Amino acid sequence: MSTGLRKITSRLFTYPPAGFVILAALGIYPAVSGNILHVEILLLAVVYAIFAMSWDILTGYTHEVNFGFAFFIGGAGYLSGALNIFLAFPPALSIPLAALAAGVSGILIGYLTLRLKGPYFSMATLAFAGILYKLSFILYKITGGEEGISGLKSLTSGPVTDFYLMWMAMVGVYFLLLFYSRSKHGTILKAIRADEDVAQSSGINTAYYKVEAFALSGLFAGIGGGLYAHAQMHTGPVMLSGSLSVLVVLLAMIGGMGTIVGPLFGGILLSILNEALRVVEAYRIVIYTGLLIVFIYLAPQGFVNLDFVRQSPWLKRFFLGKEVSHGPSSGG
Amino acid sequence: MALLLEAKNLSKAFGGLQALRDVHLTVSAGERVGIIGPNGAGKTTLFNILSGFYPPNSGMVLLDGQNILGKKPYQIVNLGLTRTWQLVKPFSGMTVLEAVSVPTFSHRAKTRSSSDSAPKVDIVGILEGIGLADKIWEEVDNLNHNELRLLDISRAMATHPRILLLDEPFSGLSPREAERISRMILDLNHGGLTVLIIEHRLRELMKLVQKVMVIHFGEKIAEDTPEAIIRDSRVIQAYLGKRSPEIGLA
Repeated sequence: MSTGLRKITSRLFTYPPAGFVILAALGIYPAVSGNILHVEILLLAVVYAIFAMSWDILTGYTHEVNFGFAFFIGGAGYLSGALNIFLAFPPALSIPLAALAAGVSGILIGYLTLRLKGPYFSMATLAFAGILYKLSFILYKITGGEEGISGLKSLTSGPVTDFYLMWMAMVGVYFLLLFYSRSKHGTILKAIRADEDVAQSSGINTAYYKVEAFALSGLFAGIGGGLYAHAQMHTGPVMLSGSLSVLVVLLAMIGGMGTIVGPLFGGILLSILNEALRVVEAYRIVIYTGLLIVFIYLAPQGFVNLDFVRQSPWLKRFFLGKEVSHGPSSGG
Repeated sequence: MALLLEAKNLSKAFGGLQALRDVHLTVSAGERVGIIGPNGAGKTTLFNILSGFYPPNSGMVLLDGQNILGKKPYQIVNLGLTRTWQLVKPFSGMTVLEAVSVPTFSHRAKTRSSSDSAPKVDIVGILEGIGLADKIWEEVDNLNHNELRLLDISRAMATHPRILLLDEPFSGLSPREAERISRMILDLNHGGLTVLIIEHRLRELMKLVQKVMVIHFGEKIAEDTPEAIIRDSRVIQAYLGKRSPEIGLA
């Protein structure tokens, strides 16, 4: 085995086994079951997991709460849709372009909101998303107003292949974000979260790392948004709405911020729960939101951050993986 | 000895409050300098200006002859001036090793470890030297105050500074712990590190430094050796009260 491959496998060993379990379960189920409804539900769950994880890399690690995440999701959805409809770009081109645009706008917003902290930061992100939401109505000639853009080219020929494409995107996003968060970049973001002044007086250009996380967060949300639009063959104002932004915040918070694997769990399990409650459709929203409140009450830091998980060596190893250190003394 | 840090005519006002007025400061390479003064005299403001966190209203700061005013705090750290804080500021949510590894990602530490002539920043070595070696895997949140103080200093040392600004390193420590930190500062100084210390605990400080500067209401009122400072009548009146003080150099 080459040293590069060995490095990767030894790194994978430090990642949380819980993440592998859920990724594998999601990968196997559609192939075995063949129930199209279930596949559609899981596709939605996978999309939300992508959103929650991309949100987590910025907010989970810096604790600056981004309340306007729909900006990236819907922005990329609309851009990808418009490129597809008006310029006839295939999804293979329109989605990456839209994701790139979302990443670049992440740099811009990150730069503009650098000095803002706490609620001021959240309000600014909320405002950016609000502007885009309104624009989707004002520019109705392009965006289709309330109806959005329909007739986008579908991702693949069927729901199962759509699902697997989305699943691969999720696996990719998960491992890239985990890798990033466990590199020096993640450590620096955690240092900024603890105390930005001290991070600066450790010689760290904190502004750079914050903007970088913002860009990454936008890029991955853009990939998710673009894929989602094409999977649905439609993009509408809901993808830019405040309710979507809030939903992403909730999924990631309940899963466990600042862990990547927590938002993965939150995104998947809560989306499945939401659909499972359709058996009591009349009360679904009431029960679902009620349960969310209960979850936040029971685990304010999120389920994977619960004290009994963090304090039990086995649960901690399973859900959060192995501690890594990457100081120059151990990195070699 | 060559001048390492020089501040000229520093003034800083917060609204109507004149925090610093026309302060001069010179620190030679390898020197140990103390700054004392009553509460609110402007000592920490001076540190904040030197480390780039506040812009002064007027004046100039030279580090090794280079003007560092207007540079950002992280840029100043990368030029070799690092500070600690009056209150301990741990990176909570990290292990000790992880917290001390943060400064090794700075430009200064990175360029050091890539050049062959200078040794790598050795964080384990720093933690051993400071007495935190057995806490390497401990969560920062589980450390006591004394250990957090040591951690702050280790973190500052990991930036490989030429001059270290310590803001009340002894506060909240027992005399024995303060003594330990004193000894460690002396060791670092003998290794070539220049230190500038703000401290209220005069008994410990006076034994440690070679030169003391006294600030009172934002103005420098005296600068001399510790022996001369404790006999200076202006200092005694401003800082220690009118009665003859009982502190000695024993």
